[in-house]
Amino acid sequence: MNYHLTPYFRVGRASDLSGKDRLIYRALEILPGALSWGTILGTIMASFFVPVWAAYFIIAFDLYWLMKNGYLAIHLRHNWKRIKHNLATDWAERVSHLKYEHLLHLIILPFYKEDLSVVEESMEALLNTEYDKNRMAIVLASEESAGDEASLISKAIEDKYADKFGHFLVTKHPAGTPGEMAGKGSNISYAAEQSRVKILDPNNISYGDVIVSAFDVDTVAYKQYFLCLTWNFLNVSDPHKVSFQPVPFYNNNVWEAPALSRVVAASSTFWQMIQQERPEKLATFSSHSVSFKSLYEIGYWQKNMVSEDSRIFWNLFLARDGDYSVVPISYPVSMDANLAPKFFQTAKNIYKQHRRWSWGAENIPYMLFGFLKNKSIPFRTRLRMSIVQVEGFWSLATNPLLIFLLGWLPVVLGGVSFNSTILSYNLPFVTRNLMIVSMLGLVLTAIIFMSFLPPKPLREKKRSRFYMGIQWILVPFTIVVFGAIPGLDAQTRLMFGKYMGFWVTPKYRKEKQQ
Amino acid sequence: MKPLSIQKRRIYFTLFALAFIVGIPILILYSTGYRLNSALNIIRTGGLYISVPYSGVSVFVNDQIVRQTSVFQKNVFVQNLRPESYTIRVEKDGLQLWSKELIVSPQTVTEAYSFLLPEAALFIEITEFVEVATTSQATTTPRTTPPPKPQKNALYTDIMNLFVSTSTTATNIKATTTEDIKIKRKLSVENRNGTLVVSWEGDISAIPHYFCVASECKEEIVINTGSPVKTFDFFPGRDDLVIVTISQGVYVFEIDDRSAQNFQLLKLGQGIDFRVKSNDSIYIKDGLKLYSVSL
Repeated sequence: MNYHLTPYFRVGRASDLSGKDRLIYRALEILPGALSWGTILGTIMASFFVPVWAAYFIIAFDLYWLMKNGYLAIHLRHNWKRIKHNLATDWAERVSHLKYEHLLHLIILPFYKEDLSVVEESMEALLNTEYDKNRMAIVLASEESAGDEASLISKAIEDKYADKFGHFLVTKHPAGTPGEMAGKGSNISYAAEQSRVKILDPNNISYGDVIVSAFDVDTVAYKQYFLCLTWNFLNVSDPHKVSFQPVPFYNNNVWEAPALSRVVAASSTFWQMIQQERPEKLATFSSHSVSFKSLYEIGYWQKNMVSEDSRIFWNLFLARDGDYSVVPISYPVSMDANLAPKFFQTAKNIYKQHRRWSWGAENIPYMLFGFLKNKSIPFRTRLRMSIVQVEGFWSLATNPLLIFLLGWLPVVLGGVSFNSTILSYNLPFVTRNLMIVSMLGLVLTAIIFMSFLPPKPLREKKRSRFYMGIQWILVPFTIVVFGAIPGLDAQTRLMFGKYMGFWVTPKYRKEKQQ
Repeated sequence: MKPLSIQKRRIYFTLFALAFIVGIPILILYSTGYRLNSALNIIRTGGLYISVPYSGVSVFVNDQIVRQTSVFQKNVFVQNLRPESYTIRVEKDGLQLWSKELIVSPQTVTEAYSFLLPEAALFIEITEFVEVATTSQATTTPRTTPPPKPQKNALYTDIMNLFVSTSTTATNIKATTTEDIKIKRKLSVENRNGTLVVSWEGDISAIPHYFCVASECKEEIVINTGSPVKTFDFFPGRDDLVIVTISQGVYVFEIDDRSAQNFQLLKLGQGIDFRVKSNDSIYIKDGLKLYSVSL
């Protein structure tokens, strides 16, 4: 089925459709929030009306959480070993046995109003990668709406780096294009098309030979990233039926960022590491790579929605009738952890960033609607993907609340009769003990986090390393405040049709101020 | 290095799923009081919850100490108890003993709220007059400071008035009266010809635990004071204790009659009386002398 030719393929929200389709899509938009709120309100109601059953549910849920943590910890540990192995591997030697000179790496750096130093750091990292620079095309994708200062930065970057790569292009995405949402998706789509017109076609470069890496402007590629990516590209059966997902580290400014920011950022890294070992559950996230041929066939990233990084996977999955997957390359790229001049602003930015990521729930109605329309995808695949994705967003918004806040509800709401049962007395002890055992997994996360830390800058105090280890006690707090609540916030907005726009995470470097 | 193989992941998944399936009934049975006895039979147990007002207090169940309370944990929860009768004793040097015989029911926590008055409470006399120093004024000629002049103590007058006033009730005034009924949080205590009878006037679902044994709740509890009650009131900060004046003196009785009601002496003496003010202070009147009680 040529699903990418249907009017449903580029739907951004229910209002893009009409009639019955619009109703169905709207219902699917309501689904994630309804499930999450249903769980939370259901637990509260059950605690009031049937506290014994609510207590049974909470005990069962706590045990489920413990088992899930244990199961996921095994995946995390394995991926930790795999990343260390991949970082130690000589990818130059591995690709030397392959024919890869025909490949071109097209790296798109979407740029808004970030400081010159942020862009320079990414450019320097690209320059330092061990890959033939003549086979690299850099596209600095700027925004017209960013103003003159951004144009000056673009020019400065172009002047400094244009002659150091095989191809260099600065694009300026026009502001206010009808049908587009201002954001990364519309910008990099424009940049990709401009690259085709100005780089690929004039140089007769086959689209199938171009690997596009859609980075963030602060994405710092490790030295052998493109060699590793190339090896993976050449070793999959069909590189046009897969996307390539690195592991996002947030190490660029890890020594400057506050503990809160480090913990939240590293938690995202760990989740991606776990998903790397469960590729059937993996969708692209943040910086990712994909063949230009695939992108061109479907018209690049969607321009009318926020979560273009994950949506591109669902676009391709539906376009290829389910014959599309993500290859987890278990090789890192590094980005900025949230950091602002003031702590409160940092916390606010973390919340907003995670709400934007959680807005990825907008892919649920897109995916489910696509599954209803595209019957060429095997039913089992559609069912499995639906369960995995819906459960993922439901877990994000509800599990931390159930574990850390709602566990005591039957005791509070259960009434005199329930409160005289031994179950009511044991419930807090059982939940607390299960939680403590679950939290033992934090030791593993602390060890993994420390193992990937960049060298401590000389200006940092000796005790900074100690704080890096002890910071994990913040997890019960961060998982609720910067996990569940923004998740619920985003799902509630989607449920009520209060659609979010793209919020650019500000990048800030302390050194610049000193 | 290859990703975690699907076979390994399935094995791990199966192991964790099995642990979950096995763990659920074990945890729920444990939480609801089921235990294995020495003969490996499953039995239903219950528990005791004893509230203790102070730290450093020893709590005994059947003469075995189960805990010494601390600043952070004053209340004691004991579980794994077979359903039968238990004697609880709560004691600390310098405080009067509290003990109770309670029946533990299966899968239920039997609650008890102890109280421990000092063996010798401190009585601070409120004098009728207080000495008020006069302030000397600066003058050009030196003068000697006059001796303090006794003045009527306003607190004495206020408290003494409480022993005179009979016009208000416990629900809308802040002091004890000699009225026959007092109500606190829907708990009514009535003085019927010298006998205190307690009843619950609220919703049955919120009835205090000591009215009920298993699912049977009684309508009234009689406080067995031994001799006729002259005056009574709720003990400050508690609605399960009453202070009473009987012929021998002022005592504190608990309402809970699941076994013999505990009572503790506050002040011995004939002809003495007490008042509670603002639900936090106790005053004793002995003749023309007034005392505030420090517990």
